[in-house]
Amino acid sequence: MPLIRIRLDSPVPRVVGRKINDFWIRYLEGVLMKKKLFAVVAASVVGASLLVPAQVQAAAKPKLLIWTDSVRKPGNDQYAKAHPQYDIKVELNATLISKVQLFNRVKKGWPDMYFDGAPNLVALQQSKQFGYARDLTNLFPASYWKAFGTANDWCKIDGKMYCVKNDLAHTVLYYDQKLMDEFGYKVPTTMEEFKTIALDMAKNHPGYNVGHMGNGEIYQGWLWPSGCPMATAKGNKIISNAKDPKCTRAVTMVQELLTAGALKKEGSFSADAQKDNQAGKMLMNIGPSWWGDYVVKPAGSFGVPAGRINIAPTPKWPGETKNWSGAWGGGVYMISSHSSPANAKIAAEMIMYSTMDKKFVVSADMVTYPAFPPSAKLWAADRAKAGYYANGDNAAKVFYDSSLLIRPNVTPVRFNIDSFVDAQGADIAAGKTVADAFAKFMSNIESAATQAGYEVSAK
Amino acid sequence: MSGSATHRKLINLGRPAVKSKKRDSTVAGWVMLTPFLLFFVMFAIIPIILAFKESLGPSIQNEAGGIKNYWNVLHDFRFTSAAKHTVLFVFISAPVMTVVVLGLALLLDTYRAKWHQYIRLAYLIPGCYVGAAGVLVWYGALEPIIGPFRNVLNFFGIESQGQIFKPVYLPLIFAMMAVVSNAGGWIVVQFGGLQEISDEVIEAAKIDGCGNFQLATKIKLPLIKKNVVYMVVLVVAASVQIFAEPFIVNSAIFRGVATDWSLNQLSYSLAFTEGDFAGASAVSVMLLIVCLIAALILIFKTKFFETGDESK
Repeated sequence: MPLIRIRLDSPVPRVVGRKINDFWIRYLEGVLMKKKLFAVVAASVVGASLLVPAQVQAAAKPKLLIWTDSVRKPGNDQYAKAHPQYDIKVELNATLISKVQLFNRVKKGWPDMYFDGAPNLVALQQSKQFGYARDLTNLFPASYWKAFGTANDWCKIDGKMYCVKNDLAHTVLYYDQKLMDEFGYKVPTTMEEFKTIALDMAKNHPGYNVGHMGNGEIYQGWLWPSGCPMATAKGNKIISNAKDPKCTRAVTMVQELLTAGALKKEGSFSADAQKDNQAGKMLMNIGPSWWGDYVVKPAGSFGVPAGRINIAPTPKWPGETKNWSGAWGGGVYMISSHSSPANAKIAAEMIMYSTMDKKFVVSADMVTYPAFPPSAKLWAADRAKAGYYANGDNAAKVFYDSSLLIRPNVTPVRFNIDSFVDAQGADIAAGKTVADAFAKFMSNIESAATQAGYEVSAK
Repeated sequence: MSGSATHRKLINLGRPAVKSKKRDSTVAGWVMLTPFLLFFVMFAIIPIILAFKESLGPSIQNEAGGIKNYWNVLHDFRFTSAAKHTVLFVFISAPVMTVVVLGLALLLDTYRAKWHQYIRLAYLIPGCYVGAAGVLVWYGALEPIIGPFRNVLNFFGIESQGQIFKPVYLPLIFAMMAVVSNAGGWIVVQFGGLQEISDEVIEAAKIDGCGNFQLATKIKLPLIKKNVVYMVVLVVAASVQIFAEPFIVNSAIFRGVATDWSLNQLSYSLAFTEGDFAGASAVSVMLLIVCLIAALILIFKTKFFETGDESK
């Protein structure tokens, strides 16, 4: 089909064009003059009717991004499914500490809510250079914080709450009731009694053990409950004193028991520990609340059969009035400081669901000891009935009581103290003396704290 | 290299007049080089420039930024031990790798057995599992309690993992991992280089009474000198940047035994657990400078880029 060529240089189209132009101008002027008001009204009605539903829609479907881990995901998925009016995307992602700097640069992409399995990192996330953790003090109802009591104090930085503790990993004393009866030992309530039993066991029953030290167990089972000031943050000051008697007493006792062979220098997760304890050689062990389900019970780990293990509070050090416990883990929920208030509110509801919902906290999906005390009571009672521990009711009571006694000498700090804990354990496993390993640990803390901008002092 | 220049060159080629062989090879050279140049600019030049810029930016310790970042990194409490480990590793792994690769390549070249190519293939197989897989294979091999060689290890008195993964043995273990994975590929490369030596030279040497060992060390090695220098440069550069082996051993196998063991691990820690991108970039830039200096020394000392009669 040939193209119609319009020759614009001839007079006829120009004239016609101008005439058409004039006509339109006059027409529009006339029409608009008369019907201007009507047109304006019509346009605004149409416009408003298009805008309002969109705004209503936008308000009705807030979009949230949740980053969580595989253990917490079922709970978050449950909430998302039960609330289709929110567009909640739950992703398995545990890398916020490395990604948050990138998000800060491009100014977008932060997840609205994040579960962190390394609770120490809340200090970095809250700090000025990371700026992720939101101040949650006024976001949750006051009754929520009240019910928490001291269990959420880990998250208190400068008097404000920057995270919500999801679970607690406080230490208790695990012991093999059958072996204790067989060897005629009474359950120790103080560390002196613990030492006596351990030394006696090493002499008369070689091959048995009261714990393994190569994976950093000394930190949460010994130094922390003893009250050693390793890296206690008070504002911008770090209190760290290697010579404090509360530190030296733990270091001395661990060395004594290692030398005697009562404590093993390999780590609890090493093949050596597996081999020993699968043969039933674990007499006692100061371990966190998840030790039973994840380390002592499973056949791939220690594989101790049901009905043999009991728990007691962590033994007291001399001069202490309470059976303080340490802690190994205890994940926290954080909400992004960059989220809109509406999204933050929804994230807060999700957290309250995961920590408070009565059905959820006793379901199989809640595998760790809940931090929220009312939920913890329900959880402990439910697990006592499950029958792994020889005395289930006593186990429930010990879990609950010890959870309130996590010693406050350890606080979140703005450097990666977890890697020093691991390095200390590896040093002990490699054969270094406990004193040397501890000295290196404290020197690492001092250097890292200074680099992170803290003022390090012994008091 | 602009499009119009290529265009002109191609038009020049089309002219039936003087066809220059040099022009042909220049165009062919550029055509083959362009894809590499593209990637080189995108993934090497631009990141290097960005790293330079980043290393002078504000950091946690030094809000003002600038050259002081390098000073701060050099005084980081982990820097000295990481540098010591890295240097030790380079001085163990690079010579061992060179000796092993050249030794096996020369052996391959000297003794032509019937199953020659199967041996070459066998050398390449360890190179198939690199990085994380390689480390785990080695972990299995060195495990004295549940590993397949536990009887051998127990015979030598090694009964627990802590006896092997001691901090003092780590450079040796990592060197072993690196050499075994990477030697195969280099053996094939050096063997290829050895094939280029003309048979006449070998025959002449043999007629003159050269034994096999003398043939290898005095005739063949000098003739493949450029290949060897090329390999040494790349091996040293790779060793200086060691990361995967200590990182995986530290996170999965024996937590805490190799924390911030190598300089690259320190850079990773600075960037991803402390948010100090300036410090991490400073470490990377320093590593780059060290590798560049080493490469330049080797290249200029051995006159690497001199073209000419190859067999002299």
